[in-house]
Amino acid sequence: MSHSTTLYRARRIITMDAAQPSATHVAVAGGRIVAVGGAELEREYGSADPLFAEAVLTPGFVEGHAHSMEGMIWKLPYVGFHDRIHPDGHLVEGCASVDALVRRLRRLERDLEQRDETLFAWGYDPIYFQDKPMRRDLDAVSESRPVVLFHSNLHLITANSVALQRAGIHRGNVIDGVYVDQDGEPNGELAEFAAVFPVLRAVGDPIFHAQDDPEGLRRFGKSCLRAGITTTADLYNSLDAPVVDMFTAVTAEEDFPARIVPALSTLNLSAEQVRARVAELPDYNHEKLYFGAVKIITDGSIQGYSARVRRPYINGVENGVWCDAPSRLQDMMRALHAADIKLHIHVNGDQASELTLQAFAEAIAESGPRRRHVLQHAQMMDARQLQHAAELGLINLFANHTYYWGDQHRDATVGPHLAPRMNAARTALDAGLEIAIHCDAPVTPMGPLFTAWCAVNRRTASGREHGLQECITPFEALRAVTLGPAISLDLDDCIGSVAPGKLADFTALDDDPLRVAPADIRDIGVLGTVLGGRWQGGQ
Amino acid sequence: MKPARPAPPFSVVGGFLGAGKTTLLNRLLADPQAPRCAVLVNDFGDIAVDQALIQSHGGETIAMQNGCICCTIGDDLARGIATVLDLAARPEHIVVEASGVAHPGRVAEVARISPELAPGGVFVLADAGAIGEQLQDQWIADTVDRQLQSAGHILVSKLEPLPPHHQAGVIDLLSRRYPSASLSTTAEVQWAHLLEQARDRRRGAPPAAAHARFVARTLRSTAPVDVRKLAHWLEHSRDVYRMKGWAVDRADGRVKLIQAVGRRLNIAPCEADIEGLVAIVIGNPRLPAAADIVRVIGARESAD
Ligand SMILES: [Zn+2]
Repeated sequence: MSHSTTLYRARRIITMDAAQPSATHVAVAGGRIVAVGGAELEREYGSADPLFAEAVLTPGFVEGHAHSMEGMIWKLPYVGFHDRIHPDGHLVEGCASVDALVRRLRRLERDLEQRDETLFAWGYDPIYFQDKPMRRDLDAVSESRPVVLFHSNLHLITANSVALQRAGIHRGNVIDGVYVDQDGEPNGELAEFAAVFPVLRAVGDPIFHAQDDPEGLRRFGKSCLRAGITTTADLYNSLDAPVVDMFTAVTAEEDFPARIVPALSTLNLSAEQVRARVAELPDYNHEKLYFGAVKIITDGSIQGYSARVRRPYINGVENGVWCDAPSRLQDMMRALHAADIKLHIHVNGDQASELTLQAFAEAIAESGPRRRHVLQHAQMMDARQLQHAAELGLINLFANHTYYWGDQHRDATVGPHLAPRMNAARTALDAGLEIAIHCDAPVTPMGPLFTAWCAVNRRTASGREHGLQECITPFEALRAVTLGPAISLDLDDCIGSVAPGKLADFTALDDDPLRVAPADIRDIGVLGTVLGGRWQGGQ
Repeated sequence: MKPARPAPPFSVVGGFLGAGKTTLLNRLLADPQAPRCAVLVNDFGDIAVDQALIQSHGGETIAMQNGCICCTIGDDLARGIATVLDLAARPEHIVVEASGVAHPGRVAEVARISPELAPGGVFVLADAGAIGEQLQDQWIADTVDRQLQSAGHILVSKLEPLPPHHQAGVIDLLSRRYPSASLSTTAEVQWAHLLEQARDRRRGAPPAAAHARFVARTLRSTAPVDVRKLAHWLEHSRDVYRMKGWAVDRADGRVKLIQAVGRRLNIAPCEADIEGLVAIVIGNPRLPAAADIVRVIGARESAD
């Protein structure tokens, strides 16, 4: 690594550093920022490299909540409703109608080499279809080989007749998770373990060993680069030995384009076991890999009706599921807080956030303040809960679900009174909370600018306004995809803003997110990123 | 396609945290009468079987001397089940421990559609000392209720240490709220019990099928009972293994605790807040239906 200093000149540098919010020049040496300022820096460091002369630089985007599965899942072809960028950079057009979906699947089917190979695809989401594609539509793709679509949430599948036949599913043995048509025939849609297991057992499970796949992690890195992300969380990982080895090796590759912050899943571990793992994992850390945090999942998702809510879902679906006994979840939070371990707590429903706030109130009373833990998603927290979180010194992350599921939340899950109050970023900021906003890829695509656009404009996919009282400013939104998540990951000492001493991580944009019309933020192009002083964009 | 092999019964043991699932599974694993079974548990940490009974201990599998194996599920139940189904010596019975917050009925449904598994019943444990509060708890009431709703068989654990009136209250509560489940105590459960459930479920026959070895009846009445008649019936029935119940005696209006093991009978006055009769009877498949027993002993109303 060269320690000579390079001075870059940009159209503008948005720093997120209160001491100097805006600049045009940044000097970089040894992968770190040496100085930030204006043309006067040319006197000290010589003439500036004009690489970014036309670009706007921001701190490298930090994705506070995504999953490396985003890279792993691209091993299967994408057939979702919305257009999506493949990690390699090409656009995969959305399949916006059943016809389009069937046409795409037919093309994929022709490319399969083996006669009996199953055709798998992912990303399909039934909520965007009036007439959902069903078994019969997939039969039009193939009547001789199994065809299986993973829904975008990966918990449901839709299968063709061959796949159902091989799994032994027919109208005579229908169970809860096997959906049927008006005539009582299975329509191909299958939900949950009991219904999905026989199918994947019969046709093979293509994402069985996905977590150990180095190609998947490399694709995840590429997805980050496309979206302008220089640091991302991988917020739920078993971190078994093969996974740790693979992460350590792949992130250390010279051209791996992002820093990864994996969080250990507490599933099936005792607090003691978690402490032991967290004590040894940071030995593997290097400049692009940061072990040490822990993820606790308390409930499910709101669109899947598995979030724990205080008031019933409006369509009569029973309350969601706890991921562990509430008392054990609380004990885990208290024990790990006492052990000074950084916690990311998945809370979607407001009963889950209530349980968590109660646990931290007790934990802090017992052990005093320690790390600032993060409430992830926090979608239904109201003013009172947000106030409480602020008092406890917690950090909140909000989802971009206002866009993707806002309509559905209003019409089908929590109803028109609660839905516009969800993801209450404005209320959180007013309560004094540090916030971040996230994508939760592969649940929604990687894209901090799009996530920021969601928080600024609060429109749903159908274009409806969705609780405009919770809109935040473009500046606040940009902070919530840079410094905010850096703080949430405990990495704000080295990333999150353009300030002397920090790592030279920048995102180069083709326009200025603070100067374009707020409605246009999502259309700003990402030119590439600088990671530790190294330019890695420039298609 | 997989070659056709006999589909092992698939039983699910559920119940909230602390209900005693591990204690029960430990006992079943160590049972010399056990079939060649696979028990899938959430965590080895809790499995505490006598070292002398263990043949070998691998990473995710413990092999027992009696031919049973015990495997951890990890974070993927599908993988766990696939692993035991692919063993060269496919187990004769698969028992899965559902996590304390899982919906055991939903898990068990897989056996209704998978050609590789046969239904083996849903057993849900209830901690006698805690269940009343759990069913009122702000966080977990609905979860616990959902689990019990899905039970084919409710197993009451930790009943004995409770005072008699409290025991009666628990049995009464559970038999009223979940009338379609049969009810017994964990202490009574043997492999025979699980196997019998499995056979019945497979044929869709009622629990009293001909070669079942073990059935449970819950007796309830809102009117006082002739305790002498009850005692007489217990002493002369060849079909009763055990019985435990509380009855308001028509003779003197007092509440009696009635316990029977085989022909040994014990009747003692006690404090219990009941109207007429609450009892569990465990016996062989010739045991009459609950309504018939209640009629014989001269009470008025019943539920099984
Ligand atoms: Zn997530």
